[in-house]
Amino acid sequence: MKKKTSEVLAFYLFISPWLLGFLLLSLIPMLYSLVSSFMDWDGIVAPVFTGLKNFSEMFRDELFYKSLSNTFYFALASVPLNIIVALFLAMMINAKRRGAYFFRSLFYLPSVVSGVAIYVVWLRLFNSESGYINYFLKFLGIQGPSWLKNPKITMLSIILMSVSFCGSQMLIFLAGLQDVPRVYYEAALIDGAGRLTTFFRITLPLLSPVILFNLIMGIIGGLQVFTQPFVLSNGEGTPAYSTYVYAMGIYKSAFMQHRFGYASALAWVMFLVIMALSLLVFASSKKWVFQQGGDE
Amino acid sequence: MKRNKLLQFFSATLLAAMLLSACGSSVPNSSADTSAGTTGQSSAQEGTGQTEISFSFWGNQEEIDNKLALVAEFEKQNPDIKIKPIYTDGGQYQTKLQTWFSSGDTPDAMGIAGDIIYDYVKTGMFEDLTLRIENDGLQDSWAESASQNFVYDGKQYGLPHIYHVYCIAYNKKLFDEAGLAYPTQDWTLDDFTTIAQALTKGEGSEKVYGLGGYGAYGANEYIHVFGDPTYGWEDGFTIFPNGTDGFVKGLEFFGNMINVDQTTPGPDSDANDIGFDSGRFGMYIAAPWWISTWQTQIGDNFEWDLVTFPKVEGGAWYARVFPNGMGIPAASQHKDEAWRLIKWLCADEEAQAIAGKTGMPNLTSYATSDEFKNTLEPGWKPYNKQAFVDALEHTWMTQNTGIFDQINTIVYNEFPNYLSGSLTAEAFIEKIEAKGSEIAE
Repeated sequence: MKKKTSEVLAFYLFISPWLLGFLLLSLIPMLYSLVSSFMDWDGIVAPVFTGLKNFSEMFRDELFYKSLSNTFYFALASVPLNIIVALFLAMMINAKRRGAYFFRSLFYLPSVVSGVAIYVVWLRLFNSESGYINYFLKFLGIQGPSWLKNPKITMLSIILMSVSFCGSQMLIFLAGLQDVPRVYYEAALIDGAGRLTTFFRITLPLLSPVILFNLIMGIIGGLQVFTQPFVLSNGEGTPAYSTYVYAMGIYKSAFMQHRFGYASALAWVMFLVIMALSLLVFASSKKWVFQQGGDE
Repeated sequence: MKRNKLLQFFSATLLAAMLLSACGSSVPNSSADTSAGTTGQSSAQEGTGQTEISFSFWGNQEEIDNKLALVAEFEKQNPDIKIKPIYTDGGQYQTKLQTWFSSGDTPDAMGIAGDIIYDYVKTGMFEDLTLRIENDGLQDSWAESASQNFVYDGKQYGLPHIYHVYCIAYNKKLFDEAGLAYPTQDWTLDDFTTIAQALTKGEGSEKVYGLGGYGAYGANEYIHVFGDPTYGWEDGFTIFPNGTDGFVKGLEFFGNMINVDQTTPGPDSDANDIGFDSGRFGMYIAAPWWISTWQTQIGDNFEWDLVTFPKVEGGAWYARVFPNGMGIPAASQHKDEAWRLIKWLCADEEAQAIAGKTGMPNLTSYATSDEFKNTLEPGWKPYNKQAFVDALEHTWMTQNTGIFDQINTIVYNEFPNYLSGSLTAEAFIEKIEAKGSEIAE
């Protein structure tokens, strides 16, 4: 008994740095923001309890729905696109052709470089007058659009930009691909299966847990998109609200408009949305995620 | 067993050390504190007869060096006061303001911008300086329009220090090619329109525009040039306190410039990212912060100069002003010493001469002096600095935080809809008024 107690104590001692960090930097601030969501608080004077006023104001605000719709548009487009591109790149690198290691580092590089620096580069690329994208399109006889100033395609530009950050997902896919037992591919080859059949019948099913992970992380990240639209629109969501995403609404409400209570309410609604979507994906995973091992 | 006990002992020690370090407060050092930590305690240095006060400000490296030079000079002239400077960049400064005021632990003296001070004044965070200004006879030290940027409910909460204001830069080479006379201070709106049309030529990436520089966010500028602000705050929050005629006139005037005459790029044009130094703009919105860049980048490519905005009926085109001032937080423990500092910074000619290297000095006696007019940085070409001084006569200031940010968001985002024709001026006004009513409730 004494030994068990000392083991338990040692356990908590070793995880105490993380536990302290979680309590002080995550859990307590989250609970504080939950309480703030029921308050009118400008971040300067003491908060005043207002009940559900923040939530009722939110559901009557056109900008709330606009920001949700922009955010869902971004997530619905960028998440599958990033997964497909990341998987494609991972498969190319997994083929172990010459230069595979170099390209692995190259594709991963944007994920470690400051996001703002990458976005500034994209600003130059997308410039309709002097950017390289429209310059190359001109050679194809295509008049390039105003990528970042036309409200109809600004969000599309941001979605395309997000693909440059699929390096982390690519690495995770690569690890998953290398975990697929070669014996399956050899058996498929013997049975005369082609590449497509091998991909859909062997690679994808065995990679499905990794796809599930990247999908959940992609949804969480996609619904919290902030930096790209913020940098590109100077924090205003222009042009014509086309880049006004949900996280920008939270940021502006808190730090520009001094409405910390309202911003907290926005944050908790998004938390519930993300939680609901994640649970939905998990529930659906029983149908399409193949888990190796089990009772054999 | 012994090894386990040793391991547990070290773990416990590490945990205790971390707990103690987290609980301890940061101790201020005597040099500048650039961290996001507390201001520390200003105090009387024992035995030295010296009072230490903390002074916060923001800026890029050049502006920070300038403020530190001012601090050093003040300390030399006031050996009984020691200043602890606290500084950061502009973006972080707003966050620090909120942290300081919400914790009640504020610097003794503060740099403040006129366009973000409203929420703090409204909640009593700043000291009313009106009586101090009157007692020291400083009422006429600055232009009335400069002081007004820090006045709320008839009380003044800040002293004007330096400012940036818009006027117009013109490319003499393009004017000469078009056979146009250079604009003077008496030019009218019709003159401006005619000149802009005459200067505009070409298409696509070679197009030369009559006017540039308001950028993709020009909407807020356009609607204010004829007066009639979108919102007022001097006597509490109001929407269109002077009516909407100026707003509509601004929309129509610039809507024509963008859509009909095409003499200035619309907010959806990437030509907004091109600078005056490119030589593609006959006229350009100039602010003091551009002068250094233009002096270097333009060089001998073309001659240029400055002029105030054109005259319009009832006055002049309103120029946007960015006022930087100095204030004393209500929680300051050393208000008298803080007053001595900010009074020197804002009402002393020597201080204004130093400050004038990073913006336009506000002190009227210095700004209108020959010394200021004739002072140029080494290697700079002469230009009409007086335009920035004269522009102070007709200025408007936006508020950028709090409830006003909600209105600004509507203006920035609905302007393209107005330009495309999907939103009328009346509907635009209705949207702003609806948000204003919502805020007022």
